[in-house]
Amino acid sequence: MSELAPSSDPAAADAGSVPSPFWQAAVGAAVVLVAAGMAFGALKIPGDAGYGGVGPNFLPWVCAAVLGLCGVLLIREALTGGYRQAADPGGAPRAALGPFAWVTAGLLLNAALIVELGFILGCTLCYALAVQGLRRANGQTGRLAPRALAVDVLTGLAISAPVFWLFTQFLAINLPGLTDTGWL
Amino acid sequence: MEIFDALMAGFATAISPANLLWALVGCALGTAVGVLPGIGPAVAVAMLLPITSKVDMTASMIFFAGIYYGAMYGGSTTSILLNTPGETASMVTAMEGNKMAKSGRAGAALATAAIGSFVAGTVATVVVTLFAPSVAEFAVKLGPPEYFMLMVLAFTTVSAVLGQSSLRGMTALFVGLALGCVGMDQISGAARYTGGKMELLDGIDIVLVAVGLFAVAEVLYAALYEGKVEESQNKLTRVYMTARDWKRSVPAWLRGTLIGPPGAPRSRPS
Repeated sequence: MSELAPSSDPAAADAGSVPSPFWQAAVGAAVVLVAAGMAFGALKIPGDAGYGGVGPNFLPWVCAAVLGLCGVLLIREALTGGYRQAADPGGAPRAALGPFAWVTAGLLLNAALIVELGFILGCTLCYALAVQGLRRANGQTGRLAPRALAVDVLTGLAISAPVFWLFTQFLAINLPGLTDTGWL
Repeated sequence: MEIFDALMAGFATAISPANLLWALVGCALGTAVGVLPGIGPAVAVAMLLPITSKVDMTASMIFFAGIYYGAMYGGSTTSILLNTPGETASMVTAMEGNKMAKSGRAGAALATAAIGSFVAGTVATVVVTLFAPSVAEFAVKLGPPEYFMLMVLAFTTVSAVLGQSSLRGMTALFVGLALGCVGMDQISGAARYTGGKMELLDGIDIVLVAVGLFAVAEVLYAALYEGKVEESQNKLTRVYMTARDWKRSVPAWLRGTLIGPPGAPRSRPS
């Protein structure tokens, strides 16, 4: 979410990693956008009230209205001195977007490829990419050295394979696999 | 007195060594399965149902009770150690227990969860046996207005208890309600916010939200902000609970025991 975005305001660096008022207002604007999306979607939901007195579009409208109000109030708070009682979440004042991209790529690729690659290989890929990101965040060198890569891939396999076998062999739950044997 | 006799007879049956062994096996198996996210107590019991054909009826009921309670407890382990709750019930455990684990008190957190589970589970079972008939009579009198008021109470407590800002609490609450709107309306069957995708008709599973919010968000935050932070090992100082831990835990167990038995309905917003 945009709450995690880097603070561009140098004055905000004093406040640890609490986002600057600009990004706080952006979160409020995002909430207003969600409310607008809810309202737009609610237009298409039938409103026939049955014996209950309210139809299926009642709660979406309530959510849209309250979220819209909350969004406006959040923007107001952000513009009048920032969020009240904002606790410092800790960590560095500036976000490291490179590592974030590696971890996100791991998650998205896993979601996109798990049906084709199967659970074990998909999760290993996700693990290897996420570890690359975390190594970069940590400032480690030699991240793509064959030895480090091999350790990552083997660790990923060692974590995902037993979990896969536990589900397919012991609990008889179907998970996507590269083959139909339930072993890979 | 009839109920009391029946309860005692039940305990007498359960306390035989073979049945206690079944309970132990069930608890161990249930805990192992309950640790997996997405596999709650009900699913664990359903998956292991075929075993009833091999075991005598009383033993299998005890076995299932063990699995059920084991799975209920199993969720707390991943919540405390990995900040990854497996189901709704262990989300609060993740909030508090993971903080304890991070300050080196994982042992105490796991212990208080286990003992609390045992105390509340045992007392609640006895209470339910004794009062179930009268509570059932009362429960059927609760209608939609009462359920509505219960929901309102839940919402106000959620926004008041969680966090310091009630505005952000309310925002989070209604973002959650908005997510809950996705899927088929339970009363009319109308599809809401599915965008024509069949998969979304079932709604967004709570496990997805919990794992996304707790586990995935944690990793992303670590990659974004905590890479340069000096790592420190959160040394597990001791496994046993101190006198202070006991003193602080007992009231919480008792509260949980009191709140638990009425069995708040797990209804979704509709």
